[in-house]
Amino acid sequence: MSTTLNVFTADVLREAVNQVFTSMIFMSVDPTAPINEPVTQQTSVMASVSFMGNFEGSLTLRCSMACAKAVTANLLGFEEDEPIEQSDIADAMGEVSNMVLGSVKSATYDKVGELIASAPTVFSGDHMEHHLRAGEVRLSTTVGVDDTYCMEVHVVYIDGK
Amino acid sequence: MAGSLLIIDDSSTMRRIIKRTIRMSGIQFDETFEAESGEEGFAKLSERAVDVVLCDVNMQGMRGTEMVKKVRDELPSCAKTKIIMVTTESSAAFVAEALSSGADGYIGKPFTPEKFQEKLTPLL
Repeated sequence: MSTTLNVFTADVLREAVNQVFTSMIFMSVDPTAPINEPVTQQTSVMASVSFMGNFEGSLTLRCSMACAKAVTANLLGFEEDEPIEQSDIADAMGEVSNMVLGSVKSATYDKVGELIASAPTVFSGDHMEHHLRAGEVRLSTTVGVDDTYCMEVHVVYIDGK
Repeated sequence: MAGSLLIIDDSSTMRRIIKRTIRMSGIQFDETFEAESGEEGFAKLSERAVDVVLCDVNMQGMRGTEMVKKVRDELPSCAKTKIIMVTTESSAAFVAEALSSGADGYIGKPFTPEKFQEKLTPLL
């Protein structure tokens, strides 16, 4: 396995998010939408799932709490006045990150081979940043969601074993 | 449409999503049961066969494909039960593993109501 293969591209990430959001969450995704919602300057939610195989790393989704609530309500089919608990948001965002990774795995299988995913981890807070460890490579992209929200997608991996 | 359904997934959120998607597909089951592990799913099927099982693959404890093989090997009462794996796995190796374990098919995540209709309608 080459260590220089650039298999995780922004297009792959955006298409994976698009597949999950349009088929299961019923929200539109626009990779070219202007981003009016700076995620890092407000309370945000990060959902991360690790993977192992010929590449090792993690895929992380980050969005505002408002976006995470909208995603949760749509994904779980909540009624308009139904209260959304933090645990609902954690469960929903975890599943979304898992499914986005699933789409990435399908798109990259021919080049990467099988990737084994961990259980997702979800956390929220203010001004969160994701720091790289030595040897890690990060690919990031951003998409607009429902013409309202911004979703960041990050893949961090060690380029080959 | 009639029949009974068992959803096996260690995520209550995913079980809820599957139920919502089946509702949206227009398919109706008389009874829907849930299990949160392969072990619990096997125990429920030991007590009572259902028409259709939707089963996750990667679960803590008994994997979905292990459970399917155990059902096919040990529960003759479930010989007519159709088992569909619901999973993010989509490699040729996985599909071969799932079918050789005794599953009747699989639905990849992300999925749509139309996908459930396509896969489940012929089984009912």
